Amino acid sequence: MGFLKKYFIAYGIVVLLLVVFLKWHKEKSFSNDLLTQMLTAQSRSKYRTDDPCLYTLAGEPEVAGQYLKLTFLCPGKEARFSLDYRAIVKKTVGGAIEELFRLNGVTLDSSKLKCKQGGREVSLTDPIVNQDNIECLVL
Amino acid sequence: MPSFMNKKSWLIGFFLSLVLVIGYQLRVKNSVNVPLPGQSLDEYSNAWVGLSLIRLGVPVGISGLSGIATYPSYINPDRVFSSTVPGGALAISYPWFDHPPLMGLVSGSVAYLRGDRVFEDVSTATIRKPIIWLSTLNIALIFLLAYLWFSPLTAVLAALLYATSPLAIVGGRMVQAENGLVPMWLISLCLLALAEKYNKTDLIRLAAFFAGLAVLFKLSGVVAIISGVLIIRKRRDLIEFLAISISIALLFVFYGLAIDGREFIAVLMSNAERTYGIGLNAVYDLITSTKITSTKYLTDGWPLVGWLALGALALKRKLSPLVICLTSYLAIYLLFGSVSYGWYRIPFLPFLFIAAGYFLAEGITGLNPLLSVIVLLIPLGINLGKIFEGNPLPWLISIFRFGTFGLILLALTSLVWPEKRILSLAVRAGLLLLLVAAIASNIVYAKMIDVNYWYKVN
Repeated sequence: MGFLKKYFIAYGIVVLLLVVFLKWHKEKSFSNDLLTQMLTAQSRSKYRTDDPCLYTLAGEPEVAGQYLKLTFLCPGKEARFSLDYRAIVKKTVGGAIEELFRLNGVTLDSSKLKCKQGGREVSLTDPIVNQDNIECLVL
Repeated sequence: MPSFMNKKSWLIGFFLSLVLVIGYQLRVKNSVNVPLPGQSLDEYSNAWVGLSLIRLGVPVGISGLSGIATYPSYINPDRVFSSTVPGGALAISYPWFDHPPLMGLVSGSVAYLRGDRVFEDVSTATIRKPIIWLSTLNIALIFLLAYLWFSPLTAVLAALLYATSPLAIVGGRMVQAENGLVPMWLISLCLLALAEKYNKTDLIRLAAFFAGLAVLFKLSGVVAIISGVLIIRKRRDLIEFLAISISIALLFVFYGLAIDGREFIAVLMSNAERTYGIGLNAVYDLITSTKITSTKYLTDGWPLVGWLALGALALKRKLSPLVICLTSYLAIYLLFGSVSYGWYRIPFLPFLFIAAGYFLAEGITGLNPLLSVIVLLIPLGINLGKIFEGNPLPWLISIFRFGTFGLILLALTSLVWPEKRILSLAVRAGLLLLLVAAIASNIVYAKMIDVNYWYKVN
């Protein structure tokens, strides 16, 4: 049993070092800004486009009632999207468009859009609620 | 004699190198797109866990557990939201403790070293690479283990079958914790077999270390500890093995407590209450189907050959370590249940292929090749069916039909008249030919599985 005694002394030291290192690393490295950046920054290899109708989103979010519909009318085509309302950080028309553009790598300036909600024209700063259906014309 | 041994060693070494090259090439080809990126988001989540541990000191990943705080987020690596992932945001949680962190660290470290810094940078082109290396390493480990447990011929066949089986190839690309657990378990078993052969206690200690590491990939890696305990005979060795392996496995607990003790315990409790969704027909489903992701089934006959061979091995008076390993993992597989994802089955494969190799080797060198001939028709028939799907070749069907008819009758006749040596030789030659055809068909079928083919797989 001599070996196990030595082993557990070494093991205790390793565990201590591991715990101290993990706590120190978390303390030194974690920040909400970095976390947000890692979650939301676009890939360096992502193809960028100014056409909001180029990429689609497959399917619908499976969240009852917690969705937002966005339609883009581009020259000669249109694209429809359903977003998970909970994942939109800024709850405005512009915030929803920004989230979708980030997701699809769209570089189009949002001021080149003319958006409507239920036939009524809305601005990018107007608030949104779940189940909204926004339609934007690309100027 | 030494020169002969040298020649034999060189030959085996050359063969193994060749099989490793073939196995690696088959795994690399189409590896970026098959399985489709996003078909299992766990692949990205695992890498994100590693990447966030490196950059933030806190693991961040997708959680499937109930009762744990999650943050719906859209992250679109490889543009998965335009292809395989239907619309919904990802349930991101942190600190993420759903599973131990080693698979995350393996794939996340490779991603980090290749310059990935944010989650969307992570792509299958990067993170599947280390898994392919591990899967190729498995070929060598399977060879060594089959060599130590059975015979050189079993080792050759098991390695060749594992290297070329379409199921092992595609499964061996996925960034799933099972693909890290398996090599650790195999190394542990190889060390245990070597320890027994050379009577070396140090090797048992090292085996215990790797058995503990298997748990740090996934909790189901506890099978490496269980099988080790059942294989080791001496009480003192057993105590050391248990003490070392459990202490290594417990590093997961210290890791969790160090990062966020309260959240770690909450996740453990949630994991314990997870719904048992594997179904009561799990064993039947396991033996009769070859699931690869949560939705895709890639038909491959070799696992069934392995299950049949397990039956033959289990009937022997002396309990084989192979039977111990397969049935231990079966017990763990049924216990850990959850939803029956294809990758839960990955740890069965090395042992099923060793069993299949043993069975075929017995057919070639043993007294009764008839059963080997019959079971070989399972994978060969499936492979040929897939290769010639939609393009049936009448001449091939005729060869298969009359060839198998002739070979089975010949094998039967050789058993009725065992004194006719020529019959027995002819049957063995036929069996070898069938084996070569089965392996060749493995390679052709595996090479066929590109992204277009994958869409047709269901």
